[in-house]
Amino acid sequence: MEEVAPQVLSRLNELGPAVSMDLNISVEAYFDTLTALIDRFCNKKGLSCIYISVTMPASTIRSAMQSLEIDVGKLRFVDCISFATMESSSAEDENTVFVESPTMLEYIVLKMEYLFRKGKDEQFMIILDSVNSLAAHNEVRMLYEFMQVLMASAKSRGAYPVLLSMEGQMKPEVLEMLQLVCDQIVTLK
Amino acid sequence: MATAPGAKFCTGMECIDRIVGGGFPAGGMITVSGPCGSGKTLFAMEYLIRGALAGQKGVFISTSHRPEKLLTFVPKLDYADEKLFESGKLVMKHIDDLGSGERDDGKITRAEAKAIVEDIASAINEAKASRFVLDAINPLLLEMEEWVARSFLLALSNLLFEKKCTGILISEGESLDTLEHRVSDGIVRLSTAVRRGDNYRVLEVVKMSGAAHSRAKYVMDMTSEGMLVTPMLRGV
Repeated sequence: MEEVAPQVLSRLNELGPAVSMDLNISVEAYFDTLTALIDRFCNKKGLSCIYISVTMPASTIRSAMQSLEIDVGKLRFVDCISFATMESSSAEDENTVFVESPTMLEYIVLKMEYLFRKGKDEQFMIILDSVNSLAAHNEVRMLYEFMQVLMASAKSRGAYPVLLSMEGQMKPEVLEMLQLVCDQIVTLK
Repeated sequence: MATAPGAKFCTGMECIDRIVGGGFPAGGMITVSGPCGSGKTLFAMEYLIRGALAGQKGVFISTSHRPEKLLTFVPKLDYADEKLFESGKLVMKHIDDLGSGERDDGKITRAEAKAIVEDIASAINEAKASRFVLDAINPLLLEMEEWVARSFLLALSNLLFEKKCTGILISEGESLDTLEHRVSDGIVRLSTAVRRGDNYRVLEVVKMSGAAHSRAKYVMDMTSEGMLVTPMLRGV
């Protein structure tokens, strides 16, 4: 496998903001991809990042980033899984907002909007992790509608919308949906 | 001189102005209705606070809790400034402070209803208010015979129009077939919906006089940055 970071960075730089991209990655490339997106792109460019976590709790991802010595100061989470798994922390964390269930798609949009308002002068990258997890909880037609709203909202703010999807784990109808809502589908080699 | 025909009153609540086509009818009386916990009081508070921040004074009349208790229930709002209340930009009163308290066989008489409207007029005049909220209208109407209630609502509606003061009546309950809805210039319904076991707070504009408003259902969230809405997904 080629190194992930240069591929991710060159695509992001080439496309610019307000262009939606799906990154189709292998499980092995997961943390390398996150490092490239958050540390080598967002932090280098001074972008804030809204991380919509459907696969793992926000606290897990934040810990992983910190253990990789990545600055998480501008990382905000929309955590869609901790409530559902009863793992939400009672400690207040102003950089994490919770959605009660990954089936409550409208609230994901609303929490993203809330974080946009909190950081009204900032430019954002939106990372949705992952399409596969979201597809496991929602019907494709609902997901399609949600993606359209999410992408439109992110693009109107001049954000960089990035979807993560896991290689070889996608139903054909989900892939078809992604082709309709994403400007670019990039399979990392 | 009353409000110009078709004039809009921008609420300052971005999502509401967008849905109702620019704002409420200026000098109008809008009913915001919904069951307990649907966000009516917060809606009304945001309406007043957004106005005060834009230099428009407001009057809030509570028919349930005393203002000092009510304020302790309001969550932290990042856009609000506590000094708005201290500086008189927002005036809060309790219904017991209006009228004489006179009752006939437990009912508010027509004279007493008139006195309440006059006291509301005084409160609006003193505050130089262009925004008004009565939260909630139901307990007051319950104490009136229907003909008195109708007369009271029409007098209040006329007062708001003459004073160029755009008002919100909070109505508790899910039915729209009630007197306050029939005489109001606009109806915003807040409700809850259940989809696959998940509870959603939903907002819809049922009526807004003189406006080509959206009729869609919106999922809403009350946040410290204000009320946010997004179209409810259909999945079809």
